[in-house]
Amino acid sequence: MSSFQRDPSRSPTDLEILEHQQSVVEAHTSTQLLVGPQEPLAALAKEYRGSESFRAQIERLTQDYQAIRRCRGDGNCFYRAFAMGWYEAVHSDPRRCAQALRTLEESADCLQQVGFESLVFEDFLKTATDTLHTLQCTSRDSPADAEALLEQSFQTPEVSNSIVVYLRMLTSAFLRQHQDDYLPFLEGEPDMVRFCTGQVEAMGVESEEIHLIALTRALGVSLRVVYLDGSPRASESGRPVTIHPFPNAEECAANASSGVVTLLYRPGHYDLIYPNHPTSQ
Amino acid sequence: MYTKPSATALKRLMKEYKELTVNAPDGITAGPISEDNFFEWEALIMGPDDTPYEGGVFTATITFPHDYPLNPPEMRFTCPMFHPNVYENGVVCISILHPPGDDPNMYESSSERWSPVQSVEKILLSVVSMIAEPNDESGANIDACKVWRDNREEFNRIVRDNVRKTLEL
Repeated sequence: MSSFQRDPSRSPTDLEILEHQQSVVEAHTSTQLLVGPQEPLAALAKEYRGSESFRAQIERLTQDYQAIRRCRGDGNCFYRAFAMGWYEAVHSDPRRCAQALRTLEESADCLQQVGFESLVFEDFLKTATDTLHTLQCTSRDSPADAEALLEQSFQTPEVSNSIVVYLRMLTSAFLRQHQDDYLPFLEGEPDMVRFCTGQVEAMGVESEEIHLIALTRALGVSLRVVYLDGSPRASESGRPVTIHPFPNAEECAANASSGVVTLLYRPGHYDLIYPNHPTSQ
Repeated sequence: MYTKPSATALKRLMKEYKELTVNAPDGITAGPISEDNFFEWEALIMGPDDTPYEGGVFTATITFPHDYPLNPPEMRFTCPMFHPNVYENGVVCISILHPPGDDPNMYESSSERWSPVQSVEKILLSVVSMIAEPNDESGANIDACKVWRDNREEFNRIVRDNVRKTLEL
């Protein structure tokens, strides 16, 4: 906790509140794995014992989903969960994997076109492609080893964070390249470069819908986001849980043959979620 | 993010150093003080022409965090440097050396913050522009800001004095 003594008769200053929040967040996040093991959905239900509407939503989810994988809530959870889900969806399928590797390598063009020097991104890109390539080779001999290696890679800060940095740079480059299309969606921010520097490239800054749309479009990957928000309407009997396709319904369906990533969204946080029948989506 | 020096950071710094030795911008040299430690650099910056800093050679150290380039380095002049955007202890205060989200109101909205797509070269170029065009909106040295605003002749005289001192060293 903070080193200063606070006079209890006055309210805490903004700075004190901020420092306190920071220390709570740090204490919490530094003990959590960057990505956890797969856990059954029941583990999720336990968190919401007291909330009927959440429990009803989770109950509904168990019909279609079997497991979740928690990601550290450090502001990078979307990129980390997405990358891991993507690698997991392609590494055991030679055709998908080759395509994903090609997509990653070709994505460097987008960064170069907006003026990023190769020296600022090439190491991160290389970690991203090397990791997927090693997974592909391991998968050929032993799928179980590949699963373990995937988890280990995304738990290793240097590897995991390098992949996150590259995906952030790609998202930024894609937004800069198509700024005429995306600028109208930036609320209160008239400058795309400033948005990208402050809200996309910087580690630890959380993602909004525009980041999800840009990244999935840049990579041509299907993403489905399952919303668990405990909204009372969602608990009405039989009402399905909301699922949003990215970049949009049409492109999500068209890209599905190269692998689908499914994330669980709870307000402010993304984790991975696994369908019962991954191939039937 | 990382607690110990990362291989990524080291590799990146070695590349940036190599690139700077081949293609250094005019009036700038920079590199590690010792090849044993790529996280501590020294930079030499020539005072820009047509400014009171002209003719001076200014030395600075650049200290990189172990998670570079996720976070920016710190740059500190090691010679007398009287400038509105340089603290009295020599630390340079410009937007590109600050991570986004830090001090949101202190800089002009258009100024560029640190992000991993920046580089040492971009920092040094920004510092040269800063020397030529002080920004008294986000002052670090209040005295220097005041003299620069209220008595330009006196400001130029102090700076030229410092230039002579840097050359005597």
